[in-house]
Amino acid sequence: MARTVWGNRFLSILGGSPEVRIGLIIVLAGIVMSIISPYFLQLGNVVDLLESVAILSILSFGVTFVLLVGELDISVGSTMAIAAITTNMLLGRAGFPLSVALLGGIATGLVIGLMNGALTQFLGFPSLIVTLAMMSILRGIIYLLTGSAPLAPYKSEAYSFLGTGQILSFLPVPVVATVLVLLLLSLLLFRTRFGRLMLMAGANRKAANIAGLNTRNIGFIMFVACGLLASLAGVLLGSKLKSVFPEFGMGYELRAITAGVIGGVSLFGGRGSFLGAFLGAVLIGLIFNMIDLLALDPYWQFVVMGMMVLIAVLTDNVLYDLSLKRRGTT
Amino acid sequence: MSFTKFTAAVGLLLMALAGARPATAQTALPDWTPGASKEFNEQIRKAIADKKITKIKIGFTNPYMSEYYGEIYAGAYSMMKELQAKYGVKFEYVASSGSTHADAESQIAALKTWARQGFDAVVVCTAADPSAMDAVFADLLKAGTYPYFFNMPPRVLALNPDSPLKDYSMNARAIVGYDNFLAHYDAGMWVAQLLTMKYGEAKGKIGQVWGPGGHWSIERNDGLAAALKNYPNIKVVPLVRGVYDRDSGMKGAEDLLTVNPDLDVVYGENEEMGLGAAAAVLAKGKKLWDFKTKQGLIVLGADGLVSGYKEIRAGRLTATINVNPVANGRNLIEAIFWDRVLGWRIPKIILAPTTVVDSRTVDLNDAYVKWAQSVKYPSGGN
Repeated sequence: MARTVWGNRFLSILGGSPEVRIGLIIVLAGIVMSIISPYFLQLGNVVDLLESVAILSILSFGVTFVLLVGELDISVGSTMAIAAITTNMLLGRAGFPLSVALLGGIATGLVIGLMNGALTQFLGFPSLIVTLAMMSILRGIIYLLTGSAPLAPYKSEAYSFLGTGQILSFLPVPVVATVLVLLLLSLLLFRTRFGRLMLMAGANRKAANIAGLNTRNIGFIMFVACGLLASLAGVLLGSKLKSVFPEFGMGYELRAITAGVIGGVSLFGGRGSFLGAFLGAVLIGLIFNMIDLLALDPYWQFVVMGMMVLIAVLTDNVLYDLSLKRRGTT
Repeated sequence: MSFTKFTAAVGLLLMALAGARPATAQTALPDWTPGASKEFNEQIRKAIADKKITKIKIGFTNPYMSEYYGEIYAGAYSMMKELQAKYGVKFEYVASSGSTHADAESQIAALKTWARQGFDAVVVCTAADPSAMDAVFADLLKAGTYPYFFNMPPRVLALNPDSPLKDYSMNARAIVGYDNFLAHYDAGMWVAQLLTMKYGEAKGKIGQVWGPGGHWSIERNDGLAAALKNYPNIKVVPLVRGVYDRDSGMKGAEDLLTVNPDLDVVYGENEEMGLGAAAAVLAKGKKLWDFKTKQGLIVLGADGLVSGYKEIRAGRLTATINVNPVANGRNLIEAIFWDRVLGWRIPKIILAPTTVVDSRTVDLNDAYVKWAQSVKYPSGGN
């Protein structure tokens, strides 16, 4: 009887909490890797792993905002690039101080988010189509602005610190930024009324509207938040890579969505968390790290990531239903 | 499926992944020992033994895997085998690439992992600005891992006054590659030669199908433009862009030929786009260049790949710019040997010879690549 109660409770938590599932997978993989490779658990390796996924995490937080309300934004990679180019140009060619350059970069994300939000929420266009078009438009603008050539590297130590500096001599600034953003967003989602409204709007838009919720406004704010976080990610990546080149940010949109989905953010809205997206990004980083440490063919990363997405989506649905049934019987 | 079975399946997947190893083939070394005099080889062996070096571990990272990088690796393996045969040093190697062409973050993560694992050398080709890597290289050097650039355009890196890597102050031990500018300068001169065969003078129109952009593209275009300065009657029409694949090469060339039906030359920035352009020419009912009749549309690719040579022999591509990936790979390993193993000063810029390959010279160039590809050297040596 006791085993059944505890077993049901465990299954309930596991089924209802993708964060726990992903956390368990990360821990299991970590245990296996620490046995196989003496380098895995070295502090330097763990810090480098977190650093390698910090910017992806921030981007996946942005994508999570729109996923939570059942929408999609695949223009985030191009948004990153535009933000990075804006900061680089304001700093370099125009000679503005860093604060102005950073604000300019972030502002581009705000503007793009406003446009995506308006087109999808107030004009009712499908978010996949709008953001696909935006991705293409922005990428074209990037090639035009850069003349299809990399921009000259910036010359600002202060800007460099954002992407490559360390706090307390070992914590990379992007990792600290990611943790702070994660804490803030988690508080927003689970401790504020707005957070609950976000989930309600995503879970069942019709019902939410009937209940008097203005889901269009909520959806609009989600796209703006996504644009802002994408531009933050772009500014940080531009700092880390010292410059911007025409293909900057390409492919990041798919990885950010993958991180969210692996972390349990539902593509249909209403379920998920920023912590889940973060853990999804960490798992992606872990896969890359494992491949490098074990000297595997690099293309295994695609096979494993694809399998993780399938497993995450399948098990999320199955285990979620299971946990609901078990909660009903205990 | 029950939860128990599911957990077991995930566990098995992780264990399988953890236990996976790249396949290695064990082959015996052939009975040959090329190279310098016996005494010289013995002296080098003694120097290496004094340093207690028996193995060199190298990590390769490039933006993506392709036939081109495969040929560079074939060249690298052929030199590893020779050096092992001559001096007894074995080579271990791994390769990594980002999830996309532009994924420099993953490349940086791989470099740091390799430095932690005590790799002796890492070789990097990246789409990101080289200064991003240069900062990472400083940390690698502190960890005792020697970094080298390969397949990176040396003029942009070291000679550009805006580049922080000018004056050879970069942290990379060397840039091993080829002179993009001169390779395409030669292509321009070769085109002028063929147009002279066709018209009795150097005149005509060139259309370019160029990639999305980047430091490689800039140098190539500059080289071509410099050559054509000598021939004012050869005009270059506005270029069209592709994405380094055959489809976009074909589409780009179709558009060029629609707007400029009297085009004499279509120049694809890489082999695939050149092959696509050739297909477009044939699809438009035009004839490709024939050295016997000295007529037809000239189609040029670049890279110098076995697949391109096959098309040249078949008359489906006029020429390619052989940037010598095999020699690049061989130069790279030799540079690492002199630098990392023997501690000698190597030049900061090491360039392989390049040439334009057409049906008159394809056999020689093809034979060189095929020889390199036939040399098998598993990681860890024999």
